[in-house]
Amino acid sequence: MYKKFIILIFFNLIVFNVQSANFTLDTFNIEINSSFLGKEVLIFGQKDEDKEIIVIFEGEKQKAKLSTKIKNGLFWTNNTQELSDIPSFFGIFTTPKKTLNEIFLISKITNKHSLISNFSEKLYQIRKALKAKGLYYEEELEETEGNLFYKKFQIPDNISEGDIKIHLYEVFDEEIISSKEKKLTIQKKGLTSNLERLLSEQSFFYVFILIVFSIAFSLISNLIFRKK
Amino acid sequence: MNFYLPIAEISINIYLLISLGVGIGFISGLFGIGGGFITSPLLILVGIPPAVAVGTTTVQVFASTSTGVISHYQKKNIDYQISFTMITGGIFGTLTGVLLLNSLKNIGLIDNYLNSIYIILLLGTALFILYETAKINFLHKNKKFKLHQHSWIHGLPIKIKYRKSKLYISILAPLSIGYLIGMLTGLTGIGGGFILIPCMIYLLGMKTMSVIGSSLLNITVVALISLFLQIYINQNIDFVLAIFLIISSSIGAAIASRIIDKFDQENLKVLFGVLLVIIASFLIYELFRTPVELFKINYV
Repeated sequence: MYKKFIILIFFNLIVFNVQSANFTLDTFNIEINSSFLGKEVLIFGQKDEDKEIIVIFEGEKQKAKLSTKIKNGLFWTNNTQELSDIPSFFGIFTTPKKTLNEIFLISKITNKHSLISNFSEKLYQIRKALKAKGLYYEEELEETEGNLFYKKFQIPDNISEGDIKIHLYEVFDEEIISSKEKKLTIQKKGLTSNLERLLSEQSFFYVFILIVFSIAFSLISNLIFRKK
Repeated sequence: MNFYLPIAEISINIYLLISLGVGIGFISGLFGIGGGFITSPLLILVGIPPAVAVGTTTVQVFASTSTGVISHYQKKNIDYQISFTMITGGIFGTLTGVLLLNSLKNIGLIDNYLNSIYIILLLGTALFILYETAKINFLHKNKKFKLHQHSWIHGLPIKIKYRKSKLYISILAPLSIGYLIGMLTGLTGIGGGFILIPCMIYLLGMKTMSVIGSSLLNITVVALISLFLQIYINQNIDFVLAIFLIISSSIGAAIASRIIDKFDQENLKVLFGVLLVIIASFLIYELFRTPVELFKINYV
């Protein structure tokens, strides 16, 4: 497996412009179908040896609810707040390893990505909540051969449909020297997509099929398993 | 082997799902219940989002009761007059329940409130069953009980005659019972037979012969209305999950019907009561234990 993506890196280097950092993924399309269990994604690319790389994966912004567990006497209850503009997925991959505090110093990046725009407790809670669902990463890119990097990570099965924008920033002395942008598309396909469309567009028909199936199967099972 | 549930938006082990369905069907068949009030909490315990668990359980309740209605219709065991009075109350009750579920979902309190309601229902039913069994077997072993006893219910105004059940009672009584059961169906997904049947026998004074058919008709129609309301208001019914549950629970119920004669009915009741206490204990543990994650996010 390791050898496989090293070969992929070299293969792709032919395509890359060696003047500035660049990257690619092993796939730019992920299909959510009935056997979807999440998907491992491999990012790999090349960089200048002296420069730092920050890759940010940011999913489409959505409305969300953040629940915070609070102890009320003996019980744990939820304190919920409505939020808008929460990315469906967020990942920060850096080389060499950078903490979030170090990334906060690069204002051009933090201004562009609201989830890491400040030190606030609220954003910390959102990041923790996303991480618990496997939708947030803060990791180091693996380096090899001095100017190559790669990282494998998991897109979880609870990912929403939509595009994830991938931003690569080449950084030197806390200044962005160059940037690249690509996108990873996540789409529901087949039965999964059809059922969701049926539910949202033809709810009556969705229930009708369920009712017919319920009655038909109950009648059939009564006939099959009826005691003689 | 895992399977992706498109509306719940999670993947679940297919063997776990089938075992759960067969188990629920088996318990339903063995104890003569619809199984909705075990299905919802168990689905939540295995990780299905509470709103989806409630909506999908409604389908299972409808599937398990609809054929019973046909059979009782053929045997003419249904009191339509009292059933439709309860259904009228049930329609408003279901609407209240579904809207309440939607509000709880919106304010993020759905898991706390649903857990608490299930705990009360499960423990209440368990205590009732265990008390009744103890009363019959130990406390008043040789006493005879009257099923139909006059209570404050019979003093309520707007009385009408229910010919089939030979009752002269206030229309408010079946309307209120229907409303209460409807609200529980809309809010929790359960059919409510385990509350409805004792209410019909002990509160309204109905004859046992027409109670089962009439309660089944009420539960089926209310579940049907709840299905449509859940879809339009909450969009929380997972087709794949529902199909798995219907098929596996039917198989479980069929297995139970084959072996039910081998069990002593009184022992079964005690076993059922103990089972309800065990499920309730898990839910109580969930309410009190320190959560693994203090922050949770759900996309709207």
